[in-house]
Amino acid sequence: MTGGQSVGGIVRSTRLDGGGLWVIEQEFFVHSRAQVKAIRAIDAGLDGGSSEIVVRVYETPFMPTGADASTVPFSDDSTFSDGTEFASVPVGATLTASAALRATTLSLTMIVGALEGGERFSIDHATKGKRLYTISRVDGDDITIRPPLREAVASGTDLDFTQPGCVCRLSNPDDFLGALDLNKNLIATAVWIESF
Amino acid sequence: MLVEQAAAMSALGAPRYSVLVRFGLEEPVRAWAGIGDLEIPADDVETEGGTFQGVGILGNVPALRQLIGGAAERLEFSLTVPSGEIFALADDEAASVRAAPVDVGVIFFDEDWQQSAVAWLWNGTADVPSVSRTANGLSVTRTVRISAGSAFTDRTRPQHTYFTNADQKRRSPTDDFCKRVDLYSVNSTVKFPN
Repeated sequence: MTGGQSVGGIVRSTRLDGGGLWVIEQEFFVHSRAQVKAIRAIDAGLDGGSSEIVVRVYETPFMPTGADASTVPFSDDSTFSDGTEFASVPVGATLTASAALRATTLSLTMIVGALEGGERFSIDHATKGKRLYTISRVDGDDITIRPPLREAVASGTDLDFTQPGCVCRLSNPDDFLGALDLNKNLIATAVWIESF
Repeated sequence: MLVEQAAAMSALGAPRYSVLVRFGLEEPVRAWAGIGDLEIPADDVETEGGTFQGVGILGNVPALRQLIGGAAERLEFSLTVPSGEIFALADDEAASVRAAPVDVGVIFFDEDWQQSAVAWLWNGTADVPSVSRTANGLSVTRTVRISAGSAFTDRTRPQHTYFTNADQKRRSPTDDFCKRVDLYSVNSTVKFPN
């Protein structure tokens, strides 16, 4: 929204939305019997955009430097009998102070990796569910985030950098699934909009 | 207070603010034009403090005017309905909406989206709510409209007076000025009831 053009021709912009909301666009290439059935089931479950779903965003390349979703062995470095290890669930960071609803500054301690700004993470809120945030500034152990917190969080809350997601609704139910071709391929185009 | 806040925000270059509406029902309905929840501490108007609901609730906020020698205004707020709560407003609790206080305020945010106190700009009284449902293709939008008037708005109509002989005789028994009005029937319609 703008406040109108001044005599000098300069347009001054104004924001009225209080911080914005997430709109996530994704395109999936669906190419097997199982996948087609899965996406149909998801489509049915979405109920034309009235049901909520946690939408995962692909953030693996942008995770905190040094953190990865690797595997870990037992504490004595042994593995399972087939040589595999535990899939580790590195959370990334935990909060060291509680933060109020609509806070944009969080204090945290990193479990693994270092922050540079621009990373995305999600917090699993008690009533609002998983919500996505972007780090805009890093100042030591304090970070500035956008959008403002959707719900107050307690100290010790996990910040999930590895599999961030956001509770969304489908906003284009009519165009979600493309036409199925003879090779059982289809392209699903989803526009998700953060749900409240 | 508003002046200082506005000046400070204006200095930021791109001011950030939003509009809040509060319907003071038994269970107050709080809505703001932004996204997500907005916690407002108790103040003069929002006496208990409460959470204002964001996205999708507040359809539009009409333009506000100060009354300066003009007609008293009546505003119509529209609330789109994502939940049953607001719908119930227009249905179950329609009677309680009538005469409920309606307040419109503005809230400024700093560059980190931290809020300042709310400046309440307008207050009025709610009138009867109405419900509308518009279908556009497959999507259906339900809207509750609540009309609100300021202290200068009322529902009376102007009192009609007629220059009939009987009326004039009541005012001045000996005045015959309107004696021949009865004969005048062209282009004349008398509204009834008054």
